[in-house]
Order: sequence, then structure tokens, then C-alpha cells
Amino acid sequence: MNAYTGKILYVDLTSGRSKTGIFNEDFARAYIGGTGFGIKTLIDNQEPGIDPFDPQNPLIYAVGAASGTMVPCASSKFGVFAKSPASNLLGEAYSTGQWGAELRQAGYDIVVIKGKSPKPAYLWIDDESVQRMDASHLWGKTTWDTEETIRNDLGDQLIRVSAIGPAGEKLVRTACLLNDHFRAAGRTGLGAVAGSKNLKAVAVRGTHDVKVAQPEELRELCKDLYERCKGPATSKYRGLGTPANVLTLNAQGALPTRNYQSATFEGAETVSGEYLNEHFVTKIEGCTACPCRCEHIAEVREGPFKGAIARVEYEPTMAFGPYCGVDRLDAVIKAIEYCNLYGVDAISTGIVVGFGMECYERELITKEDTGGLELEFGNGEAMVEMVKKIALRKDVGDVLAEGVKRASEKIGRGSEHFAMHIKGVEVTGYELRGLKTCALGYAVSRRGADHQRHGSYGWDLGGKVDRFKADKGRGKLVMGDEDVYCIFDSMILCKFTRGIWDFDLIAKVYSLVTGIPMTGAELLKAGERMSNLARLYNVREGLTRKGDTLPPRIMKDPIPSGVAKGSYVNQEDLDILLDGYYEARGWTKEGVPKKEKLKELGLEAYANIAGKEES
Amino acid sequence: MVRHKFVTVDPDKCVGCRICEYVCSLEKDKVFNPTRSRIRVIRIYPTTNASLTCRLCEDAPCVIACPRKALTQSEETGVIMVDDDLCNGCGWCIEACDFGAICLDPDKKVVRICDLCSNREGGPACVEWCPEEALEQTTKDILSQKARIGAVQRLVKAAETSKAA
Amino acid sequence: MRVKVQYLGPVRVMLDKREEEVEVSLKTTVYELLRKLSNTYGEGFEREVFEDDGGSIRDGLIITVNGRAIGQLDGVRTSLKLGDVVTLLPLFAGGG
Repeated sequence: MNAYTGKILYVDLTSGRSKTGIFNEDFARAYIGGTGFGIKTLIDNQEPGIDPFDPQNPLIYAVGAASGTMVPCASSKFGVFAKSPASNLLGEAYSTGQWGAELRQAGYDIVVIKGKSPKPAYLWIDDESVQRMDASHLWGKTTWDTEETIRNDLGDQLIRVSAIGPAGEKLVRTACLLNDHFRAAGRTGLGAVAGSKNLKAVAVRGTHDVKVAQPEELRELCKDLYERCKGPATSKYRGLGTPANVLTLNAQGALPTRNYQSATFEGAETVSGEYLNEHFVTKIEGCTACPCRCEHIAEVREGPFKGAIARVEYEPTMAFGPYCGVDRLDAVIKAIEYCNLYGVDAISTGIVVGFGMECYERELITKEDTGGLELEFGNGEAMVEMVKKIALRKDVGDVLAEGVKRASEKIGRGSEHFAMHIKGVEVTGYELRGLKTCALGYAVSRRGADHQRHGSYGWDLGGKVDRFKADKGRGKLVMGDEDVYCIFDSMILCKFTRGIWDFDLIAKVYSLVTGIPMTGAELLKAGERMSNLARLYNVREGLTRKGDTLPPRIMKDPIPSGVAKGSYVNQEDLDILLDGYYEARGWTKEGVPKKEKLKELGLEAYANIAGKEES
Repeated sequence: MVRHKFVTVDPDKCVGCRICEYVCSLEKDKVFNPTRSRIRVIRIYPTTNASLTCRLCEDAPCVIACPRKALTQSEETGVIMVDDDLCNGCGWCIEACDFGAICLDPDKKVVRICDLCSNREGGPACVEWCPEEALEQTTKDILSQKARIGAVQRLVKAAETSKAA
Repeated sequence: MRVKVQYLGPVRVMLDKREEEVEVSLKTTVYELLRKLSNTYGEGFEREVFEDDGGSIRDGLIITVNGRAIGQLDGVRTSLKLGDVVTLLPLFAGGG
């Protein structure tokens, strides 16, 4: 095969041994890479119903079809998959930087890690050589220190490292896997899965050739693609970057503020993308083979958080800014830096802190619980310290480290009402009460609350639909968005370049790279296949229609003020939206893929899962 | 006057994307493999990025170091040429080079050095493809000339600013 | 009559302006207002706002009138009245 290595690495951390498996062209064509490879490998390698911290929960890495090539913004992306300790359903997270290309260069497209090392360990993949190395001296180290130490120990500064911080070690349910300093497989708590295996890091060095089927034609095509990457379709990412969404969403009454108490933030200007670029951004860097370069690196040069440095995007800015009522970017940057170093997802952790703040203001937790912190909305210093306490499970951080769902179950006293999660995964930066298409996307998203599996806020905010009304037609829109994003997440193409692609072009690139014939329609079918397989996995692990829901605050409390005042998504809305979506998908009223749909997509092997519920 | 034109980087513009590495290995070996590239990127966190390749040294230390006289330097272009029959891959030249600009071909076990894409229409592929226009092919004279111009411009600007104040 | 125009994102950076009052004739449409601004601010502004065809709004840019996206009103033909607030908002995907 071209580009694809065709190899799967199976690692047993308990014994320290590994073996290789292979996949063929049929597998590649059906599942493409990334998302498809990850979900398929997970459903086939994990015993139904196990606990996410069970050693047999497989932690899976998968690269994209175009990994290790010059296809723009596709070279180094990879996905991480496992049963999620946050949702007890599909755990999936994507990262980029430099790590993904290195794995393909080492000779593997998929890594499946099972078992539990008797002592802290890291996995060292050095081309064909695969070793379980002692990580006792790394346990407790930050993610950055871990990478540096491994590189020095092994004597190679080009080793790429995907590592957990202390948070993953302590099984914090928002723990992430960080690589290349500023990139993370953040969401759904996969860092905790690694921690439960005593796995500190996966280090990789790859020196093999990556051959594509038609290199000259690919290079020729890339000339045009690279031009487009420098053109209007991506200019805003290269300019202000995603934090510019702060003011946009604020103006639309769609900015989650103070734990979703409102949808506009009076302090938005000083945590805006415009302000960030003017006062804090020092450099914009790029991932491997990216002509766009969009990584806005921000540094704090004075004040109590002097020296803090982080890559700043919209979501973490929202999570530590408006969501916590904080209107100063230096605290936001420091909080993100702590998330990177201690190894927790910035989005989820910001939401957790916001939840903690509301609990504190309602006196459900006290100053004694917080170890002396005045955990009020707007207190940037307390927010920053709380990130650390969560990552290290100190004081009430130990409860909050369980994520808002479990924390609210423990704290009780009505806190479940404002625990903002879906399926146990914390919400992200779009105020769903006034964005009903987007709300559907979140409710049905396969990994819990998520904007990255659909991007359906585009319909609402773009004015293409009435965002304050629910109708059955939204289902088809969300379905389309999801399947398209599956294509992006399996090639794996950066969604910031979405404007330069159409499906036939992606299919053409796929064929030039892999030598496997492919059409735009087949790619869309593959995307639909991935969406359905993910649903089957979730159904197998216990998901029902009841799980496709929204947090109580979104379903009961109208937006109090602003342009979207009075809006919320009630049960009737939700039922209309879900019915329309399930119908469009060819699923039952309970959200289970019907047999005809399975047949259409070549998923008959999983019919026993679908057979559980029929209507 | 010797005018060896080598490929050099502006570290302020380089973002560490490594496209130069990909296009070099593709141009020379028809595959994607950064370890085959004759130009290599270094990233030092958090924000330092630069790529390095052969600087066509006068009295090139790699040529002097080679125990088998497998390396010669073109007087006209300054490019270091490798005689594959003489080179045994000992790597002495790799260590002699202050810039780490020499690499070993993993198949043939002989060394490879930037040859300014002499067979390529349009010259060095890396320069053409760099999306940040951070690479250029230039001489030491031109670089020092640019530094002088930049220095004088800064002096003039500082003088104007203090005059206005 | 006067309407207020608010700028967010790249356009704000380009013009170095957050908002301004603009004098337009009665019943001016959103399209006519944006054309007028393009004439004032030139090609850079025009390219941020319009697609190459010059007739449709650039993909990823939202225009609202009094907080409502023009897609839910009359699109670019939406008529303006005295005191209306027109906002130019860039929408980004993701960012996590």
C-alpha cells in the first residue's frame, strides 16, 4: 500500500511485550484513517461494558490517511480513542503538532495499548523497536518536563512525546495527553485512561520513507492547495485566530458566561481576540506541513502571572474567561499554561472551575473546602489556583476532578441543575439555548457535549435557519455536518482549511496519496459509516435516547438578557430535533441504527447490537 | 570575488512547519522523509524556529575532514560534491560540519549535502515552497549589506523619534 | 438618516475602528450600506466583506441588524431604518 503502513502495533503493558498486526486495502478504503480507524479498532478490541479504568480498556492511537505527507495541514494529526472515563461511552480526541507524522514514519498507523504496567512506564517506539521503559523518575513530572527528560535520556531531541501530567496519573477525569508543548488530545479524559495503565507517555521516533502513489501529481496539486491555504479561506485563522469568536458570540448572545448563567459577558472586550493579539501574542507558529500557521502563542509580560506562556484558542479563552466571569487575559493564559503542564483539558477544566464557582457562591462548598480560595466568579487568581488543585486532587479539587457530572452528584443540593455536561462531558463555547441546530448537534454528538463533530452553529449564527426555533429539518443538516467532519477527521485534515476543499478534491488527494481509487460520494459514505459505527459502539455500551439530551439549565432556564433573551430548548423542541435527526439517519425512535442502514454501510457484523431494540 | 549563494533562513519568519524538509526529500528521493532532507528545521520552545542547510563555507571543514577525499568543493558555486564511489559513510564530515548540514543516505550509506537543486528549474525547492518566504538563496555580502541597511534605518528612526519628543 | 455600524474581528483591526455612525438615505439596504463603506475604505475592506462576485457576503462573515442575522431578515436586501445597528461579525470554526 502507498502512504498507509498497513501495520497495527499491539502492546501489552502488563508483560511489556508487543506484536504487529496488519490491515489491508479493504479496511483502509472503508475506514480511511483517524476517526474510522479509531472507532473500528475500539469496537473490535474492547470487551463490551468494561470499566474505563480496567487494564483491558484499549488506548488507541490512529493517524490519518495523509499522515507524513505534504498534504497541507494533514501531516501530523492523530486521534486517540478508548472507552471514556467521563462518559463511559466513546472517548475520542484529536491532536496535531509533530507527533502524528512521526508515528507513520516509524511504520505504524494504529497503536493499541492494553494492560497495566506493574510500575510507571513509557512506551518507546523507535522504528521497529518497541520497548516498555521505566518511567519511575518521570512520575509526577509535568508534560513538558517529561518530554525533555525522555529526549535527554534517550539522547535524541527529535523524539516526539505524547504525555500525561500529574492529572492523568491521579485519574482526573478531565486529564489529557499533551504533545509538542502546545497540542493536546484533550477531551473525554483519555489522559486518565493512560494513567490507569501506569503509562506516562508514548515516545516515538520514525525514520522510514513515506511513499505516495503519485508523488509528482500530488506535488503539482499541492501548489494550488498551498496557495489556497494562504488565501482568503484561511486568513482569519492566520490573523486574529479563533479567539475573535469571543466578541462575535457575545454580540449574538451566544457566549456561555458564568457557568451558563447568561449568554453575554460585560467584560468581553478585555478577553477578546482583538485584545489578545494586541497585548499578548508574540509569535504565530505552524504544525508539520502547514502553510497556514495559526498557533497563536501568547505571553504574559507583567503582573502576578508574568512569564505565563500558552497557545491560545477561542475555547480555552471562553472557558477561563467569560465562563468563569474573568475579564483579564493574563489569568486566562496562566490557567491554560497550568492545564498544559499538569495535563488537563483546558475546555473541560474551565467548565469545571465555573461550576465550582457557582457552587461556592451558592455556599454549597466553603472556603475551607477550597483550601482558602475565594472561588467567586471573576476571581482570576482563585481560578488559576483551582486548576492546580483539580489537577492534583487537592481539597475540593478532588471532588471537582471527577468532572461536573460526578461532582454534582456528590455535592447534591440542586447542583445537578447547573452541572453543564452532556453524557458526562463538559459543554463547550456555544450558548445552546439560542442556537437550536447546534443544540441538536451537541445532544447527539458521539463523544458527549461537543462542537467539533458537527460545527452546526454555522447554520444558526449564519442566519441560514431560525436559530430560536426547532424543526425536524435540522436533523438532516446536523447529519450532513457530522459525516463531512468524519471525512476531515479520518484523512485527517485541519478543519481550519475547510474552505479550500470539496469532496471530490479530497477524494482526488486520497487517491494520489494512497493509490486507492476513491470518489467524493464514497468518502461521504465512509463518513456515514463512521458515524453509524460510533453510534453502535455507544448503544453497545448502554446509550439510549435518554442520553441524547441537554443539561437542565439549557432546558429550563431562559437566557436572561441580550439579543437572545428568553430563548431555551425545552423537551418538546428536543423531541422534534431528535426525531428529525434519527429519521434522517435511518435510526429507530430510540436512536439505534436500523438493520437496513447497517446493510447499506456494510456493518451487518454489528447487527446483534442493533437487534437489541427494534421499532 | 567569490559569490557562493547558499540557502539561509530568517528566524523571525520561520514558523517551524518543516515543509522545506518534505519538499527536499521529495525532490531528491521521491519520498517524504525528513531524515533524507538536506535542510533541517530546529524548533526550540517556545518560539524559536530556524532551518539550516549547507552554507558553502570557504575552506569547507567537511572537505578537509574527509579521510578518503570523497568530498570536493566547486569553485564556481561553492557546492560540496560527493563522490559516491569514494565515500564509505564514515560520517567524519558530518561531525566536522558546524551546522549539521550533512546527512547520510539511509540506503546507499553515502553522505548527502544541499546542492542548491542544481538540476531543478527554478532553483532550490525549499526556497520556492516555504509558505512564509523565510528562506532565500543569497551571499554573505548581501546578508551583511541587509544588516547594515537595517541598522541605519533603525538609527534614523530612533533619531527621528527622539527629535519629535 | 443615521445608522450605527459596529466592527468586530479582522475588519476592526483593518480600520482600527470599533464603531461609527454612518449617514445614509432612507430605506437604504444592507447591501447599499456595505457598498458605501467599501467605497470609503477601499479594496481591502471590500475583500473582507464581499465574495469575488461582489454581490454576496463573504463566507464566514455574519451581518446582523439589531442583533438579528440578515439571513433571517431579507438578506442583503434588508431595509434599514433610523437608529439601526449593523454589526459585522467574523465566525470561526472550532478553536479548542
